[in-house]
Amino acid sequence: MDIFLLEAVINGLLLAGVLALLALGLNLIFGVIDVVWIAYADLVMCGMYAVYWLFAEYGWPLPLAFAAAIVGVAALGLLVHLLIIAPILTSAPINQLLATGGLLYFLQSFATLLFGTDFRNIGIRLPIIEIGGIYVSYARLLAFGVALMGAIALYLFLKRSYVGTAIRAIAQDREIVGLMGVDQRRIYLVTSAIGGALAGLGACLLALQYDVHPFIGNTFGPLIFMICVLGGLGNMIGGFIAAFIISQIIAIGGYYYSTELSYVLAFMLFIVLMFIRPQGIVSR
Amino acid sequence: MKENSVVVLVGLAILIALPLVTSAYFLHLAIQILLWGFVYTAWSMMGRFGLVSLGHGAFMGIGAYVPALLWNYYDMTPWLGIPLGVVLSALLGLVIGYPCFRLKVVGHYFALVTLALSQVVLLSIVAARDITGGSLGMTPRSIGHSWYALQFPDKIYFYAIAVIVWLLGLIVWRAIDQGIGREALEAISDDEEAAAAVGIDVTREKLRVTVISAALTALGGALFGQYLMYLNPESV
Repeated sequence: MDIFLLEAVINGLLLAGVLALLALGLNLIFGVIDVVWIAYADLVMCGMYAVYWLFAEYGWPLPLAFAAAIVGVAALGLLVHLLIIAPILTSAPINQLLATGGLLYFLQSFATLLFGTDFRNIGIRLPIIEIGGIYVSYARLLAFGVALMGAIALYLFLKRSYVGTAIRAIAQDREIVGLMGVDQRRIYLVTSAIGGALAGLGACLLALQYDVHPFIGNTFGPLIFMICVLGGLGNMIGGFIAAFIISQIIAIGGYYYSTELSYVLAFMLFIVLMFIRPQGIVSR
Repeated sequence: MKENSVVVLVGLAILIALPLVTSAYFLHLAIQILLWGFVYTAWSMMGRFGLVSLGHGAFMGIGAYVPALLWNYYDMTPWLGIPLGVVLSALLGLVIGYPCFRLKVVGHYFALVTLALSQVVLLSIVAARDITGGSLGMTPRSIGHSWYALQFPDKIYFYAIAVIVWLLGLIVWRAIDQGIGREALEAISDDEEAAAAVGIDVTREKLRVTVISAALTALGGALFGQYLMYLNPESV
Protein backbone atom coordinates (compact mmCIF):
# COMPACT_ATOMS: atom_id res chain seq x y z
CA MET A 1 0.00 0.00 0.00
CA ASP A 2 1.09 3.48 -0.79
CA ILE A 3 2.60 5.08 2.27
CA PHE A 4 0.80 8.38 1.80
CA LEU A 5 -2.47 6.56 1.46
CA LEU A 6 -1.72 4.74 4.70
CA GLU A 7 -1.02 8.07 6.32
CA ALA A 8 -4.35 9.40 5.11
CA VAL A 9 -6.11 6.33 6.46
CA ILE A 10 -4.48 6.67 9.85
CA ASN A 11 -5.22 10.36 10.09
CA GLY A 12 -8.80 9.64 9.10
CA LEU A 13 -9.00 7.06 11.84
CA LEU A 14 -7.70 9.54 14.39
CA LEU A 15 -10.16 12.19 13.25
CA ALA A 16 -12.95 9.66 13.61
CA GLY A 17 -12.38 9.53 17.38
CA VAL A 18 -13.19 13.20 17.94
CA LEU A 19 -16.09 13.16 15.50
CA ALA A 20 -17.50 10.10 17.22
CA LEU A 21 -17.23 11.81 20.59
CA LEU A 22 -19.17 14.83 19.37
CA ALA A 23 -21.71 12.64 17.64
CA LEU A 24 -22.17 10.83 20.94
CA GLY A 25 -23.03 14.06 22.70
CA LEU A 26 -25.50 14.96 20.02
CA ASN A 27 -26.85 11.43 20.02
CA LEU A 28 -27.49 11.63 23.73
CA ILE A 29 -29.46 14.85 23.40
CA PHE A 30 -31.33 13.70 20.31
CA GLY A 31 -32.13 10.35 21.84
CA VAL A 32 -33.13 11.54 25.29
CA ILE A 33 -34.69 14.96 24.77
CA ASP A 34 -35.75 14.26 21.18
CA VAL A 35 -34.54 17.64 20.00
CA VAL A 36 -31.92 18.24 17.35
CA TRP A 37 -29.47 20.86 18.48
CA ILE A 38 -28.57 22.32 15.13
CA ALA A 39 -26.21 24.63 17.00
CA TYR A 40 -24.24 21.83 18.62
CA ALA A 41 -21.11 22.41 16.58
CA ASP A 42 -21.25 26.05 17.56
CA LEU A 43 -21.11 25.13 21.21
CA VAL A 44 -17.85 23.44 20.24
CA MET A 45 -16.78 26.70 18.62
CA CYS A 46 -17.50 28.53 21.91
CA GLY A 47 -15.42 25.95 23.74
CA MET A 48 -12.52 26.43 21.36
CA TYR A 49 -12.65 30.16 21.91
CA ALA A 50 -12.70 29.56 25.66
CA VAL A 51 -9.56 27.46 25.38
CA TYR A 52 -7.94 30.03 23.15
CA TRP A 53 -8.64 32.99 25.40
CA LEU A 54 -7.84 31.31 28.69
CA PHE A 55 -4.69 29.66 27.47
CA ALA A 56 -3.20 31.91 24.82
CA GLU A 57 -4.37 35.29 26.06
CA TYR A 58 -4.65 34.95 29.82
CA GLY A 59 -1.85 32.47 30.22
CA TRP A 60 -3.74 29.85 32.19
CA PRO A 61 -2.10 26.45 32.26
CA LEU A 62 -3.49 24.26 29.51
CA PRO A 63 -5.18 21.58 31.69
CA LEU A 64 -6.92 24.31 33.68
CA ALA A 65 -8.05 26.02 30.49
CA PHE A 66 -9.36 22.69 29.23
CA ALA A 67 -11.23 22.02 32.44
CA ALA A 68 -12.70 25.51 32.39
CA ALA A 69 -13.78 25.09 28.78
CA ILE A 70 -15.48 21.78 29.51
CA VAL A 71 -17.30 23.17 32.54
CA GLY A 72 -18.14 26.34 30.64
CA VAL A 73 -19.64 24.56 27.66
CA ALA A 74 -21.51 22.19 29.97
CA ALA A 75 -23.02 25.25 31.64
CA LEU A 76 -23.80 26.63 28.21
CA GLY A 77 -25.55 23.37 27.39
CA LEU A 78 -27.65 23.79 30.55
CA LEU A 79 -28.48 27.35 29.56
CA VAL A 80 -29.47 26.29 26.06
CA HIS A 81 -31.81 23.74 27.52
CA LEU A 82 -33.33 26.07 30.13
CA LEU A 83 -33.70 29.12 27.92
CA ILE A 84 -34.45 27.63 24.52
CA ILE A 85 -35.44 23.99 24.64
CA ALA A 86 -37.49 23.75 27.83
CA PRO A 87 -40.17 26.27 26.76
CA ILE A 88 -40.68 24.55 23.40
CA LEU A 89 -40.30 20.97 24.48
CA THR A 90 -43.78 20.05 23.37
CA SER A 91 -44.01 22.11 20.18
CA ALA A 92 -43.59 20.75 16.68
CA PRO A 93 -40.12 19.60 15.58
CA ILE A 94 -40.02 22.44 13.08
CA ASN A 95 -40.15 25.05 15.85
CA GLN A 96 -37.43 23.30 17.76
CA LEU A 97 -35.25 23.09 14.68
CA LEU A 98 -35.76 26.75 13.92
CA ALA A 99 -35.11 27.80 17.50
CA THR A 100 -31.79 25.97 17.68
CA GLY A 101 -31.06 27.18 14.15
CA GLY A 102 -31.57 30.70 15.44
CA LEU A 103 -29.12 29.93 18.22
CA LEU A 104 -26.60 28.84 15.59
CA TYR A 105 -26.74 32.19 13.83
CA PHE A 106 -26.74 34.01 17.14
CA LEU A 107 -23.60 32.25 18.32
CA GLN A 108 -21.82 32.71 14.99
CA SER A 109 -22.67 36.38 14.74
CA PHE A 110 -21.88 36.96 18.38
CA ALA A 111 -18.48 35.33 18.00
CA THR A 112 -17.82 37.39 14.87
CA LEU A 113 -18.74 40.53 16.75
CA LEU A 114 -16.57 39.70 19.75
CA PHE A 115 -13.56 38.11 18.13
CA GLY A 116 -13.67 39.12 14.48
CA THR A 117 -13.19 36.66 11.67
CA ASP A 118 -9.48 36.08 12.30
CA PHE A 119 -8.26 32.55 12.48
CA ARG A 120 -6.78 32.11 15.92
CA ASN A 121 -4.43 29.42 17.04
CA ILE A 122 -3.60 28.52 20.61
CA GLY A 123 0.00 28.40 19.54
CA ILE A 124 0.95 24.92 20.64
CA ARG A 125 2.76 22.77 18.22
CA LEU A 126 2.84 19.26 19.52
CA PRO A 127 5.55 17.10 18.06
CA ILE A 128 4.97 14.88 15.07
CA ILE A 129 5.79 11.25 15.45
CA GLU A 130 7.31 9.21 12.71
CA ILE A 131 6.62 5.52 12.59
CA GLY A 132 8.17 3.73 9.66
CA GLY A 133 7.93 6.70 7.34
CA ILE A 134 4.39 7.59 8.38
CA TYR A 135 3.92 10.94 10.04
CA VAL A 136 1.27 11.14 12.68
CA SER A 137 0.71 14.27 14.66
CA TYR A 138 0.85 13.80 18.39
CA ALA A 139 -2.13 16.11 18.80
CA ARG A 140 -4.31 13.80 16.78
CA LEU A 141 -3.11 10.74 18.61
CA LEU A 142 -3.84 12.43 21.91
CA ALA A 143 -7.24 13.56 20.68
CA PHE A 144 -8.12 10.06 19.60
CA GLY A 145 -7.07 8.56 22.91
CA VAL A 146 -8.92 11.13 24.99
CA ALA A 147 -12.03 10.85 22.82
CA LEU A 148 -11.98 7.11 23.28
CA MET A 149 -11.63 7.50 27.03
CA GLY A 150 -14.42 10.05 27.09
CA ALA A 151 -16.68 7.66 25.24
CA ILE A 152 -15.84 4.80 27.60
CA ALA A 153 -16.48 7.03 30.61
CA LEU A 154 -19.83 7.98 29.17
CA TYR A 155 -20.64 4.35 28.52
CA LEU A 156 -19.83 3.38 32.10
CA PHE A 157 -21.85 6.29 33.40
CA LEU A 158 -24.88 5.30 31.35
CA LYS A 159 -24.62 1.63 32.24
CA ARG A 160 -23.61 1.74 35.87
CA SER A 161 -25.06 4.81 37.55
CA TYR A 162 -28.64 5.41 38.56
CA VAL A 163 -28.92 8.63 36.58
CA GLY A 164 -27.41 6.89 33.58
CA THR A 165 -30.00 4.16 33.79
CA ALA A 166 -32.74 6.76 34.00
CA ILE A 167 -31.33 8.49 30.91
CA ARG A 168 -31.39 5.27 28.95
CA ALA A 169 -34.88 4.55 30.17
CA ILE A 170 -36.14 7.92 28.95
CA ALA A 171 -34.63 7.29 25.55
CA GLN A 172 -36.63 4.09 25.37
CA ASP A 173 -39.99 5.29 26.57
CA ARG A 174 -40.48 8.77 27.87
CA GLU A 175 -44.04 8.21 29.00
CA ILE A 176 -43.56 5.22 31.23
CA VAL A 177 -40.44 6.60 32.85
CA GLY A 178 -42.40 9.28 34.67
CA LEU A 179 -44.51 6.59 36.28
CA MET A 180 -41.38 4.91 37.56
CA GLY A 181 -40.56 7.91 39.66
CA VAL A 182 -37.98 9.53 37.42
CA ASP A 183 -38.02 13.30 37.30
CA GLN A 184 -37.83 13.98 33.57
CA ARG A 185 -36.89 17.60 33.85
CA ARG A 186 -33.93 16.79 36.01
CA ILE A 187 -32.78 14.09 33.61
CA TYR A 188 -33.11 16.51 30.71
CA LEU A 189 -30.91 18.97 32.56
CA VAL A 190 -28.29 16.35 33.32
CA THR A 191 -28.37 15.21 29.70
CA SER A 192 -27.94 18.74 28.39
CA ALA A 193 -25.02 19.30 30.72
CA ILE A 194 -23.36 16.05 29.65
CA GLY A 195 -23.97 16.90 26.01
CA GLY A 196 -22.42 20.30 26.63
CA ALA A 197 -19.46 18.77 28.46
CA LEU A 198 -18.81 16.43 25.54
CA ALA A 199 -18.91 19.42 23.21
CA GLY A 200 -16.42 21.12 25.53
CA LEU A 201 -14.14 18.10 25.53
CA GLY A 202 -14.37 17.92 21.75
CA ALA A 203 -13.53 21.62 21.64
CA CYS A 204 -10.35 21.07 23.66
CA LEU A 205 -9.24 18.27 21.37
CA LEU A 206 -10.03 20.23 18.22
CA ALA A 207 -8.33 23.36 19.54
CA LEU A 208 -5.10 21.39 19.57
CA GLN A 209 -5.37 20.68 15.86
CA TYR A 210 -7.27 23.49 14.21
CA ASP A 211 -7.43 27.25 14.25
CA VAL A 212 -10.59 28.63 15.74
CA HIS A 213 -12.82 31.06 13.89
CA PRO A 214 -16.51 31.92 14.24
CA PHE A 215 -17.62 29.65 11.41
CA ILE A 216 -15.67 26.56 12.28
CA GLY A 217 -18.91 24.95 13.40
CA ASN A 218 -20.08 24.91 9.79
CA THR A 219 -17.16 22.80 8.67
CA PHE A 220 -17.84 19.78 10.84
CA GLY A 221 -21.35 20.42 12.18
CA PRO A 222 -23.18 18.68 9.34
CA LEU A 223 -20.70 15.81 9.57
CA ILE A 224 -21.56 15.23 13.21
CA PHE A 225 -25.25 15.08 12.39
CA MET A 226 -24.64 12.54 9.67
CA ILE A 227 -22.55 10.37 11.97
CA CYS A 228 -25.07 10.63 14.77
CA VAL A 229 -27.92 9.48 12.57
CA LEU A 230 -25.93 6.91 10.62
CA GLY A 231 -24.76 5.31 13.82
CA GLY A 232 -28.31 4.86 14.94
CA LEU A 233 -29.91 6.54 17.90
CA GLY A 234 -28.66 5.50 21.28
CA ASN A 235 -26.08 3.28 19.67
CA MET A 236 -22.55 4.11 20.77
CA ILE A 237 -20.77 1.40 18.82
CA GLY A 238 -22.70 2.39 15.70
CA GLY A 239 -21.61 5.99 16.24
CA PHE A 240 -17.99 4.92 16.22
CA ILE A 241 -18.41 2.81 13.12
CA ALA A 242 -20.21 5.61 11.31
CA ALA A 243 -17.55 8.11 12.35
CA PHE A 244 -14.93 5.72 11.07
CA ILE A 245 -16.63 5.22 7.70
CA ILE A 246 -17.31 8.91 7.16
CA SER A 247 -13.83 10.03 8.09
CA GLN A 248 -12.24 7.31 5.97
CA ILE A 249 -14.25 8.43 2.96
CA ILE A 250 -13.08 11.97 3.59
CA ALA A 251 -9.47 11.00 4.17
CA ILE A 252 -9.13 8.61 1.26
CA GLY A 253 -11.29 10.70 -1.08
CA GLY A 254 -9.23 13.73 -0.12
CA TYR A 255 -6.11 11.81 -0.99
CA TYR A 256 -7.30 10.71 -4.44
CA TYR A 257 -9.45 13.64 -5.51
CA SER A 258 -10.08 16.74 -3.46
CA THR A 259 -11.38 17.41 -0.01
CA GLU A 260 -14.62 18.95 -1.22
CA LEU A 261 -15.42 16.03 -3.47
CA SER A 262 -14.77 13.60 -0.67
CA TYR A 263 -17.25 15.52 1.50
CA VAL A 264 -19.74 15.43 -1.36
CA LEU A 265 -19.25 11.67 -1.51
CA ALA A 266 -19.75 11.33 2.24
CA PHE A 267 -22.97 13.34 2.19
CA MET A 268 -24.32 11.46 -0.81
CA LEU A 269 -23.59 8.21 0.94
CA PHE A 270 -25.49 9.55 3.92
CA ILE A 271 -28.54 10.38 1.80
CA VAL A 272 -28.53 6.96 0.17
CA LEU A 273 -28.02 5.20 3.48
CA MET A 274 -30.92 7.14 4.95
CA PHE A 275 -33.09 5.59 2.28
CA ILE A 276 -31.79 2.07 2.69
CA ARG A 277 -31.28 1.93 6.42
CA PRO A 278 -33.06 4.81 8.15
CA GLN A 279 -32.53 3.16 11.53
CA GLY A 280 -28.76 3.49 11.25
CA ILE A 281 -26.10 1.15 9.93
CA VAL A 282 -25.94 -0.89 13.09
CA SER A 283 -29.47 -1.44 14.23
CA ARG A 284 -30.35 -3.11 17.44
CA MET B 1 -63.94 40.39 1.77
CA LYS B 2 -64.56 44.01 0.80
CA GLU B 3 -62.17 45.28 3.45
CA ASN B 4 -59.65 42.70 2.40
CA SER B 5 -59.55 43.90 -1.17
CA VAL B 6 -59.16 47.48 0.03
CA VAL B 7 -56.15 46.43 2.05
CA VAL B 8 -54.72 44.63 -0.96
CA LEU B 9 -55.24 47.65 -3.21
CA VAL B 10 -53.68 50.04 -0.72
CA GLY B 11 -50.77 47.67 -0.29
CA LEU B 12 -50.22 47.49 -4.03
CA ALA B 13 -50.46 51.25 -4.33
CA ILE B 14 -47.79 51.65 -1.70
CA LEU B 15 -45.57 49.12 -3.46
CA ILE B 16 -45.95 50.99 -6.75
CA ALA B 17 -45.42 54.39 -5.17
CA LEU B 18 -42.44 53.28 -3.14
CA PRO B 19 -39.72 53.64 -5.78
CA LEU B 20 -40.90 57.14 -6.63
CA VAL B 21 -40.29 58.49 -3.18
CA THR B 22 -37.39 56.57 -1.75
CA SER B 23 -33.65 56.59 -2.10
CA ALA B 24 -31.69 53.99 -4.05
CA TYR B 25 -30.49 52.31 -0.89
CA PHE B 26 -33.97 51.95 0.45
CA LEU B 27 -35.03 50.51 -2.88
CA HIS B 28 -32.20 48.01 -2.57
CA LEU B 29 -33.54 46.99 0.81
CA ALA B 30 -37.06 46.71 -0.59
CA ILE B 31 -35.87 44.42 -3.39
CA GLN B 32 -34.05 42.22 -0.92
CA ILE B 33 -37.06 42.11 1.36
CA LEU B 34 -39.36 41.14 -1.49
CA LEU B 35 -37.03 38.47 -2.86
CA TRP B 36 -36.36 36.97 0.56
CA GLY B 37 -40.07 37.14 1.24
CA PHE B 38 -40.61 35.21 -1.96
CA VAL B 39 -38.04 32.56 -1.13
CA TYR B 40 -39.42 32.25 2.35
CA THR B 41 -42.93 31.84 0.96
CA ALA B 42 -41.64 29.05 -1.23
CA TRP B 43 -39.92 27.41 1.71
CA SER B 44 -42.89 27.60 4.01
CA MET B 45 -45.11 25.94 1.44
CA MET B 46 -43.33 22.84 2.64
CA GLY B 47 -42.53 23.99 6.13
CA ARG B 48 -46.11 24.54 7.18
CA PHE B 49 -46.92 20.94 6.44
CA GLY B 50 -44.17 19.61 8.62
CA LEU B 51 -41.70 19.17 5.76
CA VAL B 52 -38.83 21.03 7.31
CA SER B 53 -36.25 21.43 4.61
CA LEU B 54 -32.74 22.62 5.35
CA GLY B 55 -31.90 22.01 1.72
CA HIS B 56 -33.41 25.02 0.10
CA GLY B 57 -29.97 26.52 -0.19
CA ALA B 58 -29.35 23.77 -2.75
CA PHE B 59 -32.35 24.83 -4.84
CA MET B 60 -31.39 28.48 -4.59
CA GLY B 61 -27.85 27.64 -5.55
CA ILE B 62 -28.88 25.70 -8.64
CA GLY B 63 -31.31 28.43 -9.59
CA ALA B 64 -28.58 31.05 -9.31
CA TYR B 65 -25.60 29.18 -10.75
CA VAL B 66 -27.21 27.51 -13.78
CA PRO B 67 -28.22 30.72 -15.59
CA ALA B 68 -25.01 32.50 -14.58
CA LEU B 69 -22.82 29.67 -15.87
CA LEU B 70 -24.77 29.34 -19.10
CA TRP B 71 -24.53 33.06 -19.62
CA ASN B 72 -20.83 33.28 -18.93
CA TYR B 73 -19.77 30.27 -20.94
CA TYR B 74 -22.38 29.83 -23.64
CA ASP B 75 -23.88 33.30 -23.95
CA MET B 76 -27.23 31.76 -23.26
CA THR B 77 -29.77 34.34 -22.21
CA PRO B 78 -31.10 34.05 -18.67
CA TRP B 79 -34.52 33.93 -20.26
CA LEU B 80 -33.62 30.35 -21.10
CA GLY B 81 -31.12 29.79 -18.32
CA ILE B 82 -33.48 30.63 -15.49
CA PRO B 83 -36.24 28.24 -16.59
CA LEU B 84 -33.57 25.59 -17.04
CA GLY B 85 -32.30 26.17 -13.51
CA VAL B 86 -35.85 26.05 -12.22
CA VAL B 87 -36.54 22.79 -14.01
CA LEU B 88 -33.29 21.26 -12.79
CA SER B 89 -34.07 22.31 -9.28
CA ALA B 90 -37.57 20.88 -9.48
CA LEU B 91 -36.05 17.65 -10.79
CA LEU B 92 -33.66 17.57 -7.87
CA GLY B 93 -36.61 18.07 -5.55
CA LEU B 94 -38.25 15.12 -7.25
CA VAL B 95 -35.18 12.93 -7.06
CA ILE B 96 -34.57 13.62 -3.40
CA GLY B 97 -38.23 13.83 -2.44
CA TYR B 98 -39.48 10.64 -4.01
CA PRO B 99 -37.36 8.18 -2.05
CA CYS B 100 -37.77 10.30 1.10
CA PHE B 101 -41.53 10.14 0.91
CA ARG B 102 -41.74 6.60 -0.34
CA LEU B 103 -39.55 5.32 2.44
CA LYS B 104 -41.16 7.57 5.03
CA VAL B 105 -38.16 9.66 5.93
CA VAL B 106 -39.94 12.22 8.08
CA GLY B 107 -39.41 14.86 10.73
CA HIS B 108 -35.86 15.34 11.94
CA TYR B 109 -34.59 12.79 9.48
CA PHE B 110 -36.07 14.61 6.52
CA ALA B 111 -34.44 17.80 7.76
CA LEU B 112 -31.09 16.05 7.99
CA VAL B 113 -31.34 14.52 4.53
CA THR B 114 -32.06 17.92 3.07
CA LEU B 115 -29.20 19.38 5.09
CA ALA B 116 -26.93 16.80 3.49
CA LEU B 117 -28.35 17.72 0.10
CA SER B 118 -27.51 21.38 0.57
CA GLN B 119 -24.00 20.40 1.61
CA VAL B 120 -23.63 18.24 -1.49
CA VAL B 121 -24.62 21.10 -3.78
CA LEU B 122 -22.58 23.69 -1.89
CA LEU B 123 -19.44 21.56 -1.84
CA SER B 124 -19.86 20.55 -5.47
CA ILE B 125 -19.92 24.22 -6.39
CA VAL B 126 -16.79 24.79 -4.34
CA ALA B 127 -15.10 21.70 -5.78
CA ALA B 128 -15.77 22.79 -9.36
CA ARG B 129 -13.78 25.92 -8.71
CA ASP B 130 -12.31 26.07 -12.19
CA ILE B 131 -15.77 26.70 -13.56
CA THR B 132 -17.65 28.29 -10.71
CA GLY B 133 -14.91 30.27 -9.03
CA GLY B 134 -15.15 28.11 -5.89
CA SER B 135 -15.58 29.88 -2.60
CA LEU B 136 -14.53 33.16 -4.14
CA GLY B 137 -17.81 33.30 -5.97
CA MET B 138 -18.49 34.39 -9.49
CA THR B 139 -19.84 37.34 -11.36
CA PRO B 140 -22.13 37.06 -14.35
CA ARG B 141 -20.48 38.89 -17.24
CA SER B 142 -21.91 42.38 -17.21
CA ILE B 143 -22.99 44.10 -20.42
CA GLY B 144 -24.88 47.00 -18.97
CA HIS B 145 -28.54 47.60 -19.47
CA SER B 146 -30.02 44.72 -21.40
CA TRP B 147 -33.31 42.91 -21.54
CA TYR B 148 -31.61 40.04 -23.29
CA ALA B 149 -29.18 39.48 -20.45
CA LEU B 150 -31.67 40.50 -17.80
CA GLN B 151 -29.23 43.03 -16.43
CA PHE B 152 -30.41 46.40 -15.25
CA PRO B 153 -28.08 48.79 -13.49
CA ASP B 154 -31.14 50.82 -12.66
CA LYS B 155 -32.73 49.27 -9.59
CA ILE B 156 -36.23 50.20 -10.57
CA TYR B 157 -36.46 47.31 -13.03
CA PHE B 158 -35.50 44.79 -10.45
CA TYR B 159 -37.88 46.33 -8.02
CA ALA B 160 -40.68 45.72 -10.52
CA ILE B 161 -39.50 42.15 -11.09
CA ALA B 162 -39.25 41.54 -7.36
CA VAL B 163 -42.78 42.82 -6.80
CA ILE B 164 -44.16 40.62 -9.59
CA VAL B 165 -42.34 37.54 -8.39
CA TRP B 166 -43.37 38.17 -4.83
CA LEU B 167 -46.98 38.42 -5.94
CA LEU B 168 -46.53 35.21 -7.90
CA GLY B 169 -45.34 33.54 -4.72
CA LEU B 170 -48.40 34.74 -2.87
CA ILE B 171 -50.71 33.57 -5.64
CA VAL B 172 -49.19 30.10 -5.61
CA TRP B 173 -49.42 30.09 -1.85
CA ARG B 174 -53.07 31.00 -2.10
CA ALA B 175 -53.70 28.32 -4.68
CA ILE B 176 -52.21 25.71 -2.38
CA ASP B 177 -53.99 27.18 0.60
CA GLN B 178 -57.39 26.96 -1.01
CA GLY B 179 -56.90 23.83 -3.07
CA ILE B 180 -57.93 20.37 -2.04
CA GLY B 181 -54.27 19.52 -1.59
CA ARG B 182 -54.10 21.60 1.55
CA GLU B 183 -56.53 19.41 3.43
CA ALA B 184 -54.61 16.38 2.29
CA LEU B 185 -51.28 17.84 3.33
CA GLU B 186 -52.57 18.91 6.69
CA ALA B 187 -53.92 15.46 7.26
CA ILE B 188 -50.54 14.04 6.29
CA SER B 189 -48.64 16.29 8.63
CA ASP B 190 -50.98 15.33 11.45
CA ASP B 191 -50.83 11.62 10.89
CA GLU B 192 -49.33 10.06 7.82
CA GLU B 193 -50.71 6.58 8.35
CA ALA B 194 -54.21 7.81 8.93
CA ALA B 195 -54.03 10.04 5.87
CA ALA B 196 -52.91 7.12 3.75
CA ALA B 197 -55.73 5.03 5.21
CA VAL B 198 -58.41 7.45 4.02
CA GLY B 199 -57.08 7.26 0.51
CA ILE B 200 -54.66 10.15 0.26
CA ASP B 201 -51.69 9.48 -1.95
CA VAL B 202 -49.14 10.66 0.60
CA THR B 203 -46.13 10.44 -1.67
CA ARG B 204 -47.79 12.32 -4.51
CA GLU B 205 -49.15 15.14 -2.38
CA LYS B 206 -45.82 15.69 -0.67
CA LEU B 207 -43.92 15.49 -3.93
CA ARG B 208 -46.14 18.05 -5.57
CA VAL B 209 -45.61 20.65 -2.89
CA THR B 210 -41.88 19.86 -2.76
CA VAL B 211 -41.45 20.33 -6.49
CA ILE B 212 -43.39 23.59 -6.49
CA SER B 213 -41.39 24.82 -3.53
CA ALA B 214 -38.07 23.81 -5.09
CA ALA B 215 -38.93 25.47 -8.41
CA LEU B 216 -39.97 28.75 -6.83
CA THR B 217 -36.91 28.77 -4.59
CA ALA B 218 -34.72 28.31 -7.65
CA LEU B 219 -36.45 31.23 -9.32
CA GLY B 220 -35.74 33.31 -6.23
CA GLY B 221 -32.10 32.25 -6.30
CA ALA B 222 -31.81 33.12 -9.98
CA LEU B 223 -33.17 36.59 -9.42
CA PHE B 224 -30.81 37.14 -6.51
CA GLY B 225 -27.95 36.19 -8.78
CA GLN B 226 -29.12 38.50 -11.55
CA TYR B 227 -29.78 41.34 -9.18
CA LEU B 228 -26.61 41.24 -7.10
CA MET B 229 -24.47 40.21 -10.11
CA TYR B 230 -22.41 38.17 -7.72
CA LEU B 231 -22.78 34.62 -6.52
CA ASN B 232 -20.89 32.71 -3.94
CA PRO B 233 -21.48 29.31 -2.41
CA GLU B 234 -21.82 30.64 1.11
CA SER B 235 -24.74 32.87 0.26
CA VAL B 236 -26.80 29.93 -0.95
